[in-house]
Amino acid sequence: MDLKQLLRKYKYWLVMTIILLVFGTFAPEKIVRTLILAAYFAIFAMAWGFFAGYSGYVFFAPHGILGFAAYISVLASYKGFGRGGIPEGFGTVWPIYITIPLGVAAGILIGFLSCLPSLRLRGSYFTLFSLAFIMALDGIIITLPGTGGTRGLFGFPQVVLGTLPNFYLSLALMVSIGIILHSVGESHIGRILKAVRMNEDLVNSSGVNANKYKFIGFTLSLAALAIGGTFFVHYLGSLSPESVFGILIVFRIIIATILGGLGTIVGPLIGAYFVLFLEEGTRTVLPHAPTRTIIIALIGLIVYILMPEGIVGKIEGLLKRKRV
Amino acid sequence: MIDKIILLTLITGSIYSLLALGFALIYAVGRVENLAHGSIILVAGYTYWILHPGGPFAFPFYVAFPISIMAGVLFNLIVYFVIVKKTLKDPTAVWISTFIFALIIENIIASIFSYAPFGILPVISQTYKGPLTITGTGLLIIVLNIILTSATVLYVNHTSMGRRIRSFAVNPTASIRCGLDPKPPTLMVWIISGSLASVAGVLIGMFTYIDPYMWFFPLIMSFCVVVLGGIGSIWGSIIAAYIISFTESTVVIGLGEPRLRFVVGMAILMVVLVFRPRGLFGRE
Repeated sequence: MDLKQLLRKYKYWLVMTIILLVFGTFAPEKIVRTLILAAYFAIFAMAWGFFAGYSGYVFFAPHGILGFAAYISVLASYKGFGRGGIPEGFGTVWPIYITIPLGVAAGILIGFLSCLPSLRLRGSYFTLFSLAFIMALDGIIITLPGTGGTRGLFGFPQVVLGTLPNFYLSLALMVSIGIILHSVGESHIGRILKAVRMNEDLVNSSGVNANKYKFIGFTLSLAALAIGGTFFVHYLGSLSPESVFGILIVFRIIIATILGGLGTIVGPLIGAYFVLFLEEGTRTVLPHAPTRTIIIALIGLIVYILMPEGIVGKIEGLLKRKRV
Repeated sequence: MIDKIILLTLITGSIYSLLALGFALIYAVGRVENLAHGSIILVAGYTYWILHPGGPFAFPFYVAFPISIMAGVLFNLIVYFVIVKKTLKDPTAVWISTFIFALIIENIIASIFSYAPFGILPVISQTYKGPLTITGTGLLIIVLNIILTSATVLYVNHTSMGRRIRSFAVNPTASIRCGLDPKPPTLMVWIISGSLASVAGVLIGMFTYIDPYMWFFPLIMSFCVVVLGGIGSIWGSIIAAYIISFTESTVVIGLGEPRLRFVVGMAILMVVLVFRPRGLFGRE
């Protein structure tokens, strides 16, 4: 495919990138910070929504993966001193261009190895196992020495300094991951995953190894989550079990995806920006965090029950009808 | 130390058994994994806290307890009619919707009561000394579990509604083809499940405490128990509940690290899923 065809296929991505780029460059600092968070959550939501929406396999531990990858990267790049003089971290102070790939690999590995037994079985085993997985991971990280325990770690290196450079970084990551997931979704891998969601037994009877494609899709999802997670935490500058394994993160991911459209790539992205800005916008009106969560959750739930294909799904449906 | 382990095994196992039984019944009749199952604990537990002798209304036990159970059952029915019924066609939607709903309930409870743990006054406050020293609450948990589980087993095995429930558990499609209306057994199962979980919720509160987070872990353990016991087997769930609670109690008391109990559940689950996904006595 030459450059012209490439641009035409991904023209919506290009347009969106330019709009966000211009908007972010000239927006006030507070908005840019929210844009950065939204971009990272867009990565998480797209990664999660890709696998859940296409294959129907709901993974309740995306925050476990992104958090674990972040922990590995941080621990390898950081040497602080915690309680009782026990050093935190691995005792190494490796540069982030080594620790981040290390964290990503670790995240993918742990996700793949622990969820493999359940992934090859029916969806309900996988889904419920992921709940057990996140609980166990949270417990292990808190209990292990050298991880900073419940208080967590801070003071580890950043990838770039400054709000605007971090904004460009987050945008670059989001768009690249988005385009990759989009192309995979349009490829035969995506098609087979969608077939798995509709009728996995039929896929297997037709001679297609559903498990192989589930593994591919899941690994991709893990990779995107791990990449996003490591860069995200290095941006935030602090890391604790509550901040990554807390249920708020998976909550935002799920709501963003179901609002935007479970089964699309762009849907979760739009949903992520919507949820993050909604949270930020209601922070002054509703300072009580549980109340904000209830309202956002109710919005998400009602939209999902009435419109399971999400906003983007609805728009796609309307456009298809217009064309006919 | 052995006596502490045995005690904890019996008590925790009873709680897991009550919860898992409810979870398994709902799955058996509708092939639904209700991720809001743990939230019944919150509803019943906090209702009991409000009404019980140690709470703001200070009603006696025989008033507070039944009302809390009814609240839990009502909640379970709301989950069924409002959410599960609408999303039955798509399992993905059931999981996501019930999970989000459980989260909403957690936050509603947290808004009203805050995240602080609430203690519930035990209804039997004596401690019994014998071969094992057991608190009144612990004894109540074990005894209630025996009574309620036996009642459920007898009901499912020896009544006509129970037969209908078993029919749907074995083969839903064939049952419908034979002319059985799924609505009454489904309703019954959601009521029974709600009652069992509500009792568990109140007892948990009495035994330790109650806080808004206490829906997640019981939900996970229900699932672990049902998988280990085998989907479709009531006795499997009961036995598995005690196996898991025994392993957990040994690890926690032996190693002295309470947070490791989460790892036990996951580890057992992984072993089962790798070597024998059907579980100990499973049918599917």
